[in-house]
Formats: sequence, structure tokens, C-alpha cells
Amino acid sequence: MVRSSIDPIRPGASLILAWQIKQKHVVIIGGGFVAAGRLVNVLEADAKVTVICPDNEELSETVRQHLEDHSQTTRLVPREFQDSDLTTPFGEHMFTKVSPEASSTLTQEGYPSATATTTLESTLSQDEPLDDVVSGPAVDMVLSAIDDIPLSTHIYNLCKRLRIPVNIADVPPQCDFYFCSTHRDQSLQVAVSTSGKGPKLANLVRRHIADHLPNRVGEAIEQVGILRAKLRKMAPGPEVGPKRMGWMSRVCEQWRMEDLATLEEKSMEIVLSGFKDNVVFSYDQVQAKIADAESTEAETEKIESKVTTAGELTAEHTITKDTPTQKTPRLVLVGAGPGDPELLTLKAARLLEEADLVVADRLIPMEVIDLAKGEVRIAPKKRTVLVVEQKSSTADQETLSTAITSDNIQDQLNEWCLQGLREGKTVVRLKQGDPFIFGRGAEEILFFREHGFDAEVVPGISSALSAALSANVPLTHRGSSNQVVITTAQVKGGRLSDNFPVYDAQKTVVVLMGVGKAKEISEMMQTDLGWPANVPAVIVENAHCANERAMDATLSTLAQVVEEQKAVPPSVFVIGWAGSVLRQA
Amino acid sequence: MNNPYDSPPASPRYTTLGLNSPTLSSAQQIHLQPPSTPFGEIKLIGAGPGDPDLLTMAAYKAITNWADIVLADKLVSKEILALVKCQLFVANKDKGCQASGQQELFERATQALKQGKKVVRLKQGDPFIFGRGGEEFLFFRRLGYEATIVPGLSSSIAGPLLAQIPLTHRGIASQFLVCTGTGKLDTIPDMPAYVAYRTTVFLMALHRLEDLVQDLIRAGYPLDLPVAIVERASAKDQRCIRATVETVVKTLKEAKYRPPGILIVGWACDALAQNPEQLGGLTEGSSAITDSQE
Repeated sequence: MVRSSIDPIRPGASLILAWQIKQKHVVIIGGGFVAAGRLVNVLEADAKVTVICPDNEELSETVRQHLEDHSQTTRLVPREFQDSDLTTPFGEHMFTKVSPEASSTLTQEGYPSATATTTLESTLSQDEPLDDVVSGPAVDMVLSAIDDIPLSTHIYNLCKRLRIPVNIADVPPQCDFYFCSTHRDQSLQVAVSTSGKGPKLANLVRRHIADHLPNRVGEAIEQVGILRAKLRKMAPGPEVGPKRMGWMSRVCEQWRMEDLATLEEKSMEIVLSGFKDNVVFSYDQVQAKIADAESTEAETEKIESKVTTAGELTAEHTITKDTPTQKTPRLVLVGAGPGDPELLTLKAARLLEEADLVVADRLIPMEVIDLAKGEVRIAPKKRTVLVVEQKSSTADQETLSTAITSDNIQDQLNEWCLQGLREGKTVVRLKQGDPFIFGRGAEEILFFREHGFDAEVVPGISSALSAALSANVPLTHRGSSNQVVITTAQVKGGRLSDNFPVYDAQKTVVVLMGVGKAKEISEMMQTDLGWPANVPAVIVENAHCANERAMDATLSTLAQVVEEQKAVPPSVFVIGWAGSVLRQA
Repeated sequence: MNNPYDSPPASPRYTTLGLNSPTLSSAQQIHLQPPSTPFGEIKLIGAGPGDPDLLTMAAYKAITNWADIVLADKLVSKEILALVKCQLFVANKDKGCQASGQQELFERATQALKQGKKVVRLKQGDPFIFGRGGEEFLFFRRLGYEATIVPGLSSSIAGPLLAQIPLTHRGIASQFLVCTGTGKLDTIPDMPAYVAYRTTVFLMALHRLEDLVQDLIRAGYPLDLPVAIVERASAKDQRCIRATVETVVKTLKEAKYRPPGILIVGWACDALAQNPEQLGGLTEGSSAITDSQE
């Protein structure tokens, strides 16, 4: 018998679905912290919710506020749980405050009252008849979030008998479904399940995923949704269905998420105009078409304004005329130097003041950032979520995951700059040290060039050079050093770089990012590259910052000193005989 | 726990505007100098590549507001020297006078310090990168003065940047080496070995370019390796000349070299080159110094 190769079934998973709970009735028992989270989850999915919890300190402030804010879709039943709660439709609970007459009419009409708690069997039989199936069950989902375990078990058993899907918080065996750790960005939802095994880990994984999603993906999905609706309206027939689908997927494939996110009325029109001929205009083409249209508009406007305001040109006029569209965008990559604001160049300081938007690296001190007069955006913090939790992970993994996130941050920063430039702003991209010395500045120039913007560059003092100076080590010194090599200790993936220079008595080596690799560096330089054990090695930590430290070692004691003194990044190693010229050990 | 390696906070070192505390320095130096003598202060400051706009705030404040006397090298640009409000001395270090020029400078500095003056020793680029700042630092230390050193933009770094040449670039160059093309007493320095992922910057090399290129070829540098010469970095008439190891001598001759300049060798030279014509051609003016000055 021939069997085609199919993917094997891997049992033991959960079935992940997107439950449409809209307008359905959810009962939450409890009013604390867990209940608050459940309430948010189901409210975001547009459910109708009954919360059962005595109106006392058990009812958390968050729950209370949500109930207040959503009075149409929520009800509070301010008492302990009763069995009838599972058979009472939304909004038909008996409240203690209800007047006696009303109470009696309701009971007469056959709705279960507060006194009917023990008559589960009878209410059950009410729910059983077939014609009731049409109107649906009274309760569609039960979420128990109370500490009372016997009561929880009771609720679970009731639900089983009533065939209501139920989740008893913290009791996995009594759950028909678990809650996923979710990330939401508008219509995008990402759910992570560990099948109830590790909710905390699920959280970490979810954050990791969220960190690596493309920028503005939520907005992109929203806009694509609108675009699709427009397209369907424009070409509704089922006969164009395949063309519609094909064209839409090409738009999604060819446009970057960030660009999709910027779609609005005008640009959508232009994109849609390509559908007839089955053409997908690129983002840049669309921008160009818009700019064309605007410039002709502006031209005519300009002429008109000249005519009308001749002779009575007020300051107001000039200001309004000069704003958005007419400003020419300008992008400057500025080196912020090693940290001390006194080491900024005059040009850098002036540009910070002039800029409409400053997009800064994270580690730049506030004293420098404070010089900016316009909008400032600072790089988000690198997160090594997964690694932080697992202490056993090696340094390699750490740098790897850092590298990935730093790519993300880079994308974000680039996007901010582009946004500013498209609005005609003067954008300063403020980079630590010097933009071209291990600063990825050239990559940014290439990126912006691709998007049609030429960047200017302002050099800054690189700590690769000035750290040594700060520690009184001349990188070159007559008789001691006539050349200096600046290198990183780590290459992609956090491996030790293999490009350390061979020994030369007249050479000073500056090593960046070496703290975690001190031992390997010291061994490699001594055994493979011929460096003497006693050549001075100066460790400079946080150069030019208030907490600067300089530590003396030799090549052979480098790792030992790093460990004893607990040197931390950012540090540089300055290795070579120049290290002993000025330092008074 | 007391850490013997702890250094004082960095910022106060550059604080100018008369906030310096002579009492502190005299207290430190009291064993070296009779207490009756007024006590001077010295800062060894890098002036950057030449454009006054590329001075650091610390340097600018020191020469415009703090100093009683500024002692500068001849290489420091006129525009920067024009900012000096106090007494200014420019050392004559023309060929043949280097030693005596330096001597005179030291004498003037000593004299001023002994009069209790605030002295700025202004050096081209960065004082500790081929600036002989270390030697001067030692000289002043022997006199009993611990100079404050203020880094400056070294033209070895700023020059390539201003010509849009990244010394490091992902996938192309992960390290760079700065060396001089002229050894002690005009001897030929050891040529660093060719390393594909390294950018090498030669200072003081262009007057003996022909010999240097021969050294490069002998050390295994490929003939088609890109080379760039940045002349008068950051000045209004900055120029970048692009060539290869093979063609650079001829290209430079045709372009008529105007010192000072630096030579950059390595694949990163082409990392940002826009189009083929630009390779092996001239780029007039500095990309970074444009409208803001006009």
C-alpha cells in the first residue's frame, strides 16, 4: 500500500479558536484581580457580562469602574453566587433593590427569583425543551474567579450538567478552555498557549513576539481592511473575485507594513485606481502622485494669495503659508559624543536647538537631550525578556537576542525619522559617540537614500578614542605607540571576533564590547598573537560619565581585574605599552 | 567599600566660566610649590579638524571665556584662532623649526603658569591621537601641573566621515587602524598587514605617497582596493579624491594635492559611493558642512 507523506499528528495540543462571543452572555463569579482581567477580555470581545460578587471590599475598584463605564453591556449582581445565576438570562436578575411589586411580577412571569436557588432540577427542565434551543441558552460562558474551592467545584459541576463552557481560575482540570496570553494591536490579536502549563512563560513568549512584530502592524491591518471594503464596493461582482483577491494579496506583499499603515483616503484612492489595469502602485509612486497633486495645488494657492494679500501681508499670513507642505525636509545624523554635554560640538548643540524632531539613541544623557527644543523621541529599551528569566542561558544567547531586538529598535528609529521627513521637518538623528564609528550611521544613510532623503553627517567624539584619553592613556605616544587599532570584541552572534591584531610593540589596541570576553581576549592575544603577558591593559568603564572608572591591569590579569572590580559595559580595554606612559599606578 | 580605582566625576573637569577652584589644586600640589606663589592651571584641548563649528562646547568655552592665554599650533585653523579673545601665541613649527617652536611654546606656558594664569594649550584634532599630547602632559606634570585633557575630533575620524566614508560598516569593516605614514625622523614605519575587514587611515602620509603605495603593495594590499584622500577636512574647500591602490598616485598628481590630507585605505571607502563616476573622481566640498554656515 502506498501512503503519501503527510505531516504526522502531534497530539496533546489545545484547539486555538477565535471565539465570537459578541452579544452573548458571560457570567463572571468573583470581583477581584483575576475577575478584572477576565472582564476586560470578554468586554473587548463585545460580550454581555454579569458579574456576581457581593458589593463589598471583594469587588475591586477596576471591576467597579469597568461596570460603570459599560452600564449597557454589564450587570452587577451584588451577592454571593446562587445556582440560578447559571440559568438567568442577561439583565433579568432579581436585585434586592427592586420593588416588591416588580419582584412579584417577575416571579409570576416564570423567571427564576432569588428564592429559586435550590430548585435547580426544575430550572434545568425549563432549559431542556427543544424550542428553547432556538433562543439559545441563558448563559453562554462561565468564568469563576473565586478562592472558594468547594464552591468553584460546585459551579464547575453545575456547568457540566448545563453544558455551559466553563473556566475555573487556577484549577486547570476544571477548565473547558484556558485563557491565552494575548497581544492586541487593533484588529491584530496574537495568542500564546502553553496548554495551561506555564502561564508566566506564555507571558514572556507573548512579549517576545510582540517586540518582534513589524512596526504599526495593527494600523496596517486596519487600513487594509478599509481598502478591501472599498475595493469590494468598487468591484463587487463575484466574477472579479479572483482578480480582487490576487490584487489585494499583491498589495499586501509589495507594501511594507509601515507604509500600509499610512494609507488614508487620498492614497487609497490612488492605490485603487490601479486595480482596473491590475497594477499595484508602489508606496513611493503613490507618494509621488500625491506630492504632484499637492504642489500644483500649492502653486495655484500661492499665486492666489499673492494677488489677494498684496500690500497687506501680515505676519499671520507668512506663517500659515510657510507651514506644512512648503518646508523642505532635512535630515542630519549627529554624533552626540561620549556623554558629557561639554563634549558636544557647537554644531551638534545648535542643530539640537533647531530641530523640529530629535530621534535619539537610548543611552544619551538627559543633559544632552534637554538641549532639544522640538519634539524628542528616544529609542525604546532593549528587552531581553526570555533571557532574563532563564539564568542558565549563555552569554551567546544573550547577545543574539539583543542583536535581534536592536534591529527592531533600529527600524523604529528609522520609521520615526521618515515620518518627520515626510512632514517636512528638520530631523536630527542623535547618535552616541560618532555616527560612523561602530554606530551604523552609514547603514542609516543608505536606508534614507533609498527613501529619497540625503542625510548630512556631523561627527562626534567617539568614546572608542576618548575613553583612553579620559583615563590618561595617549593612544599614540612617541616611542610607545605609533598606531592604534580599534576593534569590537564580538562579531555577529556574540562570538569572539577573530580579527585581533598581531603583536607590535608600537601598537595600541582599543577593544569595544569586551567585558564579557576578557578571559578569551587575554588568552587569544597571548597565545595566538604573540602579545606579552605584562603589556598594560587599562579598563575604562562609563568613560566621560559621572560614574567613570579606570582600572589598571596587564594582559594576563585582565580577566581577573574585570571580575574583581566587577567592570560592566560600556567599557573599553586599551591594550598596549602606551597604557603605562601617563598613568601613575 | 572604598574603590581605589574610583575617579572623580568627569563633568566638573570641563566646567569653565571661572568655577575652577585654585584652592583645590594648590592643596593638591602644595608639596611641589611654595604656597606663596600663585598657581596656574592648564588645559590640553583638542581643537578638532578645523571648522569652528566642530569645536566641543568645552573647548569653545575654554578659549572664549576661561583662558588668560591660548597657546596654539600653527595647524589650528584661522577661524578657530579668531575666536580667541585673550592673549594668543601660535607656535612656529615650520619644517626645521619644529623643535625650537615647541621649546618656545613650553617656555611661554611655564611662564604663564608661574604667573598663576589659566593656560589653554590648543592642539589640532585630538591631543592624544598623533598629537603628542602625552609628551606635553608629561612635561607639565614634571613642572607640577596635572593638565586637564579635553578630547577633540581627530581628523583621522572626522575626515572620513565628512567625506561620507564609514570607517566601520556592517559586513565590510569591523575594525579600523590609524597610523602615520611618516615615522620618527622621516623613516618608513612598519606597514600594517593587509586585513580585508579593516579600514586603515594614514596620517602624514601624502608627501611620500609613491613610496607608501609601494609598501602597501608589498604588504599584500590588492591593487583594486579602494583608496580615498580627504584634503582639508571640514574646511570650506574640503575635497575627497577617490582612487584605488593602483591608480592613487596618478589620480592625486592630476588633482594637484593641497595639504593637509589623510589617506584612507579599505573596502569601506566605497560603502556609500553613490555611482560609478564618483569612484575615482573628486567630490568638492564637505557633505556635512553645507547650508548651516551659509
